[in-house]
Amino acid sequence: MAAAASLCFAGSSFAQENSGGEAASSSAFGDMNKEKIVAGVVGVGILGAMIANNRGSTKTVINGPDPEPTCDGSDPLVDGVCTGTTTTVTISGTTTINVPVTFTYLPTL
Amino acid sequence: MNVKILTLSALVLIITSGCSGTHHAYYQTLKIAFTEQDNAKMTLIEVQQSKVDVISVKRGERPAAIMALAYLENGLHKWVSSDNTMLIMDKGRIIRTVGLGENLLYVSNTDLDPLKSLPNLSKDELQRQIWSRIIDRTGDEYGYPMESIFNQAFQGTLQALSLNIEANLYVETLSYPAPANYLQLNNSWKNCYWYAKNGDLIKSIQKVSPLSESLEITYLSRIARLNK
Repeated sequence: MAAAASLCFAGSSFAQENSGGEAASSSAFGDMNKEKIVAGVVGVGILGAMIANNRGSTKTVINGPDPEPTCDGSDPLVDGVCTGTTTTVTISGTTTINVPVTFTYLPTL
Repeated sequence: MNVKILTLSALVLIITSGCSGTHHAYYQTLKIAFTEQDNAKMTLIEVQQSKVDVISVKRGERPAAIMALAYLENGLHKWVSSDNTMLIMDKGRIIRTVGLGENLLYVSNTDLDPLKSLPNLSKDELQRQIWSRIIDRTGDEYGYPMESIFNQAFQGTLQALSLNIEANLYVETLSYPAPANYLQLNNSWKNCYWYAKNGDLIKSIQKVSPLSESLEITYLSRIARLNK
């Protein structure tokens, strides 16, 4: 009698329940397999990292003054660019014509 | 626990204060480690509006997830999660799990599980209940005998979905007497089942074997229906 009553009861309870079939997972959220973060392990890891860092050595690089850019000879340096001058010689009959031509180049460091 | 966390955090922060180049990285890592992960939650209205029955499942120390009822076949409830794990239950008893890493593969003798008639048993009947079965688990754990006895109900109030629900708590004491393939320190443990006054199972905390993570299951849709 009790078993039968129990069965009836269970049946009526199930009748209210709604299943979603294959699409049911769209009603679910949150992961069952989400990794748990073990704080103690993280703490030990950080402690190890700190000890390792403290025992390490660091090379110190000292930067000196920037080198001065220089141009060839007496060429002037203007706005980071050297200006040189050369002379082009042109002979026309008995006349020699000297034409100064300027050119620019990057200074050496 | 909080005192330990605060002490450890303070200690680490003091020690790292001298390391100006790295202390920020340490701080960020600690912050991630000690920030509590959020549980998946639903409100009473959201549960009532859901077209599919839902349960909240907290697996061990992991944050809770919401699982949905995919199938109700031959009296078995098959609940699925968003990451495609499945719990198969027979009147509230987990009889198979899928996708959890270590899974319960088989439980024998389920027809005689006292859980099926638990709310209807008298105190004397309850104390006479002894249920023996054999279980198979992944990790080459096959054919292990397990035995359960049940204790009488304790009345109490359960809080879920912002509701206070009068419930009867039944405690199942399980023993796992067989030698295992691994070091096993605890061969006995307890599962808990809360039944509402109408006889519906509304919450349980179960471990399927000594080394399994506990599964805390709250039947949200059943609780929401109690409020109608």
